[in-house]
Amino acid sequence: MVRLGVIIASLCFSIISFAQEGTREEVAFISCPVYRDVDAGPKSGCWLATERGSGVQYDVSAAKSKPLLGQAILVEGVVSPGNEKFCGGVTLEPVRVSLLDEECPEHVITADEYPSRVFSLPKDVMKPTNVPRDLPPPPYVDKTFSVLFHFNSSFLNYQYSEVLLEKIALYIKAAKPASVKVVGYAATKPYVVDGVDLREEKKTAKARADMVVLALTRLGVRQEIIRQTHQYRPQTIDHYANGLDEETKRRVDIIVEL
Amino acid sequence: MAFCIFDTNNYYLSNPMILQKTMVASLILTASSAAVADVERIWWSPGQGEPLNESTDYANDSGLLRIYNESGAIDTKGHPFFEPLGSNGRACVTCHQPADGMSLSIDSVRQRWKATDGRDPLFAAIDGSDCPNLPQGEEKSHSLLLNYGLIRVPRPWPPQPYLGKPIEPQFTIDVVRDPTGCNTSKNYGLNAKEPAISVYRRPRPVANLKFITAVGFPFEPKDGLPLPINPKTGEPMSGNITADRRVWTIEEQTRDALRGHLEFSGVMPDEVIEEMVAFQMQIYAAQQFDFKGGDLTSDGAQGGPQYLAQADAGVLNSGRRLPMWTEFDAWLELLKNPSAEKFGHLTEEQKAFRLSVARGVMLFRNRTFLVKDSAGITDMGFGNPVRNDCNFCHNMTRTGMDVAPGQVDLGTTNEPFADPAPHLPLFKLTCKPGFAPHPHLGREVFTRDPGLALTTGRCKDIGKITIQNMRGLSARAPFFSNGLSEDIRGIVDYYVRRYQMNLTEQEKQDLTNLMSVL
Repeated sequence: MVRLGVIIASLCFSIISFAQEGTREEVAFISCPVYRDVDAGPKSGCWLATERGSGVQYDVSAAKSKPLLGQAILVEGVVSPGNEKFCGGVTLEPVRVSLLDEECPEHVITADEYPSRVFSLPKDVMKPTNVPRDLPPPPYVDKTFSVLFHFNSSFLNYQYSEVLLEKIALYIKAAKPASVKVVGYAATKPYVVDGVDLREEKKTAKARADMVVLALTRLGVRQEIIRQTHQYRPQTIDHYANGLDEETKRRVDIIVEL
Repeated sequence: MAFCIFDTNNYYLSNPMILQKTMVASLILTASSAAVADVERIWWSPGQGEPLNESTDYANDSGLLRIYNESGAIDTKGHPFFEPLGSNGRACVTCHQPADGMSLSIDSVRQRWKATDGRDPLFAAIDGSDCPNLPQGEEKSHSLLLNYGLIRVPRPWPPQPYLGKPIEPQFTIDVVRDPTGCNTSKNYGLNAKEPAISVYRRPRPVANLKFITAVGFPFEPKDGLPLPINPKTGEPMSGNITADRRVWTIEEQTRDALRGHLEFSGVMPDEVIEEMVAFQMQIYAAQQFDFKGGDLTSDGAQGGPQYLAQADAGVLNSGRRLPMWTEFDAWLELLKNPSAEKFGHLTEEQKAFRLSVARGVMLFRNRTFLVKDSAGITDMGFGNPVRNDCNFCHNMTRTGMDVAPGQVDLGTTNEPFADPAPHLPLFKLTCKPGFAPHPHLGREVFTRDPGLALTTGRCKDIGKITIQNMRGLSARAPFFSNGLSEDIRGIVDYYVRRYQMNLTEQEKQDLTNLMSVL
């Protein structure tokens, strides 16, 4: 197991919020997921993953993208204790789950006495097609957006990517930039978790950029203004999104230049 | 089975209470002159040249299906949808029969064989037989059409360029079983001059297309991409038209069908295509009357096709606020108070049936089960398994399409979940090194129909089939793309087995009854 900055300071954007939040514990480990069949309505089941080194069983249900039974996962998350009553594991939140190639035994366990959380939609979801889209108001400035991916994946994740990409496309339509640079990254530098080197494949960088370019053009961004490249060994974007820094290496940057 | 029609312009079901299945024939004889009792007249032959009324009812085993022609009656004489335009004598209407909900029921197929001794253009060698190289006069050469309602669909291999880009298949294909001989045929198979994979599929209904082409959201989460844009209209395209998403517009599908099914050669003028598309877009089909439950638009219910025509398409029905099948919300009151005065006029049989439909609605909306190993659902972030209900995927208002369009693998074609089907070909698809395997079935997948993968060339798409419109089911058995379910109850039974839904006999019947009135 790798402790990623066992105590990471300054994860918030201001000193005040840092002081309020105090310390936090990040974990990263490889595990086989277990599904606890708790029924509190649609999409309410629990996902558990045991950190092999410590034996701690974590609840990774808060991950936007859930595990697949029978397939190993990379778990990266922040310990958020105190909610064990829900699924029976120590809650990780925020947490990201990436699928790995290794096979696992499949285990579905019963709910026992544990309740589950009722599923609720993310706050920011895509609007139906018949709802008019408003262009963002000026001022328009040079801007860099980042879209994050799972480990070694170029799949644009549901209820995250589509909302972000539509916002980016609307900004581009409104700002009418001279160019849009799309840079795909793959984290090809060694990243060892539980003794396994999880560096990403180089081809993933281009595949990610391809997907974002295709998405943007389908959302109405003119191909002529897009310049596509890809790079390896990216730096992290600190304090981005949910604050899991390592995952920010697995990204595409969309650089809007007026 | 379709066995009579009513022109509802002339013969409205003013007293549906007395209408029973066994009485239909005698009723027809005493109804207006527009009502037709001759079984042969139910079949709409190419070039028949009769008007298609604004509204016509066709009887089936459950009740009456209504075809509603939103733009009013049309003269079919010379209309390209009804005329034999190709070389084999077929018209579009051959496989999209009004009495069969604009699809093709197995009963109609069998009646047609009997009536014409197999010489109807429906049985054209190109795809109305198991393989064109078989002796066409023999019944056994048409076994898949006669026994399962299946039309041969030859798909080019490797796949054609898709959305303007060449396809590099992620898998190889081996023919494991070839009961029709077509996939190993030197003229029609994988090693032919123009290599092809023959799969066998049910004709999809040409009705309610407003919903089939509708897009609820501009993003296709199963693919992880925004939907492609129609260059003509600037609107996103659903990709729900064919089982395997090989075409994106009704225009494209019409041209594809003209070439493939009607054996039309040459280029059909745009104005003809436009006329055919306009007709297809104005046709709605839904069950209008149930022999046990009565009029499906009575007592506040909104069954039947007119409500389909009035509704906005592409609307998401999900959750407690706006769930599926609000058409029958008025009947849900029976669950609370079956003795209410407003239901006093119902017979006991009608009340019992409507209660069953109401229970079916609630089951459809609320009974959760574990959805597992269903690519297109369980590999896009929800997790595998994911607990949910029927409404999870069947969520487009009034039709039960998926409002986030796309194809899924229910296991109806892929092993190990598909029911035994020795009459269908079996293929082994092996994912090549360097490409991700199928998310749930690994690198080697055995399938009777690779579905979407024949269009995209991707391993993850093996066995994915477009979610079907759920209206007019009573008129168009058998079901699933490969006809493996011979009736509506068979659909329910498949889901119960596939997802271990653990339903009681009564609950199975409730879902069956709900689906029969859609």
